Amino acid sequence: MIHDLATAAGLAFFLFGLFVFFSAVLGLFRFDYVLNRMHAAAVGDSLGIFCVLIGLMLLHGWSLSAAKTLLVFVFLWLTSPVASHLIAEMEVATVPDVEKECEVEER
Amino acid sequence: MSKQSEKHDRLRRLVSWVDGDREPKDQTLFVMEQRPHRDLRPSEEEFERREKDRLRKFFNWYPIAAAVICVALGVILLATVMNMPGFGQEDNPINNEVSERYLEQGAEETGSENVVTAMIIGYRGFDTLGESCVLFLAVAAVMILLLRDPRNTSEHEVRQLEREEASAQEHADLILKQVAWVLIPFIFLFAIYVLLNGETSPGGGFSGGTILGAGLILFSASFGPRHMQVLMNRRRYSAVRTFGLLLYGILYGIYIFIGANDLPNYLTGMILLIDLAVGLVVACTMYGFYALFSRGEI
Repeated sequence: MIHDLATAAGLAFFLFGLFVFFSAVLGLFRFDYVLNRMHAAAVGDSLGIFCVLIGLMLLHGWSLSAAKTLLVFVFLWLTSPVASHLIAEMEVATVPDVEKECEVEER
Repeated sequence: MSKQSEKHDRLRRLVSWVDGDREPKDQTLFVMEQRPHRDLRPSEEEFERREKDRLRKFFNWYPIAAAVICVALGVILLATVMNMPGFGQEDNPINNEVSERYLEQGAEETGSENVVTAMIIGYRGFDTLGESCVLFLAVAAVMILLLRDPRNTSEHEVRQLEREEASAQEHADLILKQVAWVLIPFIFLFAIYVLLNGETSPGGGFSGGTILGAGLILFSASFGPRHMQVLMNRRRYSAVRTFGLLLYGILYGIYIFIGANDLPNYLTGMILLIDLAVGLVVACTMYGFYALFSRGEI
């Protein structure tokens, strides 16, 4: 019973993760401005990785590979948003009239 | 044709080449575009009209050509896949006596349980030595081209670099620094684990060295070149990568010497050290490329 439930939940997570990745790629190609695209890619990446890896862990059951998957997940969640943040920062720093495109918060 | 006029012709071609009017036709092997001489060129409107016409034709044919090429490529690849032997069949052409020998006696002859490492470090060690030399020479060549020293840097460039560095220090990214502070120890730990486990598990010199180099790059990018000097300056860098290549050369030379003279096999203890040497060379190459291309110094 619990096994079936875990499988169903894993499948649901996995499919939702695929949907999130699909929308991320769609946003990456369809948006106009760099920061919009970046936002789609970065947010979709984080949520998609979360859903897909959790789904895989539920489908596979708890084992050493699942623990390694968890480590991969932690690593990607630490690095992927930082990389997006750096690219966005560089865009804001190098484009002179970024105020025309979006609001900029002064620090 | 007399000698005089030939000489004159050559001079004229040289002059037009210096002016940028045309490529010397018979002295260049692969010339992409032969521009007509300045006097023969069409007027601006004519040129524009022709260019537009050409573009229109190009965009008419482009989708058709693209579709045809894609379909043809797909058909060729699928046909190849259909004719390939099945995966993992016993009578496949790759399953011959060579791979049999590697699989059956690799662990015994080279002392490495991981057959891939046994192959790249043991059986084909010369090949890997050559690869390490290529990496070493690549960094040397980039150094020749890009390394800054007082003789090839003007005062203006130095001041500009100082300004850039000051602005980078001023706008140092807190998020990057914090994340790097958390991650870098784990990256180095993982790199050492992969380096030392090449014998028994997937990994070894190349992958471990790459991770080590990536860790160095992350450190340099997040904490800046001044902190990097503490970990790795130019002398230390040169010493480490030369030591890696020399260690490999000496160890493999010993192995070849012993093997050629029918002495007992000592490679079993060397795999780990050779892996370490390859790892040092690869890590130095990665970090060297990053440092030289970004700042022109190590």
